[in-house]
Amino acid sequence: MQLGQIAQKLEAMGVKTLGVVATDAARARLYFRFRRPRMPMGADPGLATHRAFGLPNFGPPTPEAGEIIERAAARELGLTGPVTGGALARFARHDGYGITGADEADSARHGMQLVGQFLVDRQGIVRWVNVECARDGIEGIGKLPSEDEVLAAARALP
Amino acid sequence: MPGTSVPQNGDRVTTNGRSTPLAPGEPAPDFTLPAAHGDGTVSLTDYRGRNPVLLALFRGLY
Repeated sequence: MQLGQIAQKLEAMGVKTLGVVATDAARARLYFRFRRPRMPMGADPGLATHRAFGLPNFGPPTPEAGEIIERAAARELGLTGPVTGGALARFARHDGYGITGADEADSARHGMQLVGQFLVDRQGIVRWVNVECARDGIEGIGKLPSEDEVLAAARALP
Repeated sequence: MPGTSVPQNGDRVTTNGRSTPLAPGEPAPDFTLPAAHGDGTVSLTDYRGRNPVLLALFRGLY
């Protein structure tokens, strides 16, 4: 996740960053106690915010999507070679966090929830949007917009 | 669409579900959520009139 680095550059431009993570506040606070986020974060286990901003949810993951998620996790971890088995990414998480039953329940309940980023101006109007998979289809899972793109959008704010 | 109000650890988030992502030019829906990085809450309205905000919506910890 490189968004923390982008957040620091946005801060220098007077643009704040706010995150929302889809898990309950108690679990998130425990996680972030050991891995401090570079931005304020809200907890929304029910995905109400994701729905309000219109982020797509495709229901239960397909096998194809599962493989792509595995490859995205491997890419993030810098792993090379064949990646098989859902356990790989979970055991190899670079943050050392162990998936719990609560997380598994979140995953099952949330299904294929896509994520996104929205740049909102001082008046509360959306000025730039990036929705996961909107450009690359299913291969876009786990891909973030480039730093250049986000900073350019911030510079173009009215 | 009808609004929904989701009780959450004593705080509330009021939102309207929609079937397509918000597009540039549309108003961002306000929300207030329990803070995930510490005590208290976070709210999009806290930034209104003060700073632009990059809002990043993530999945869970799975």
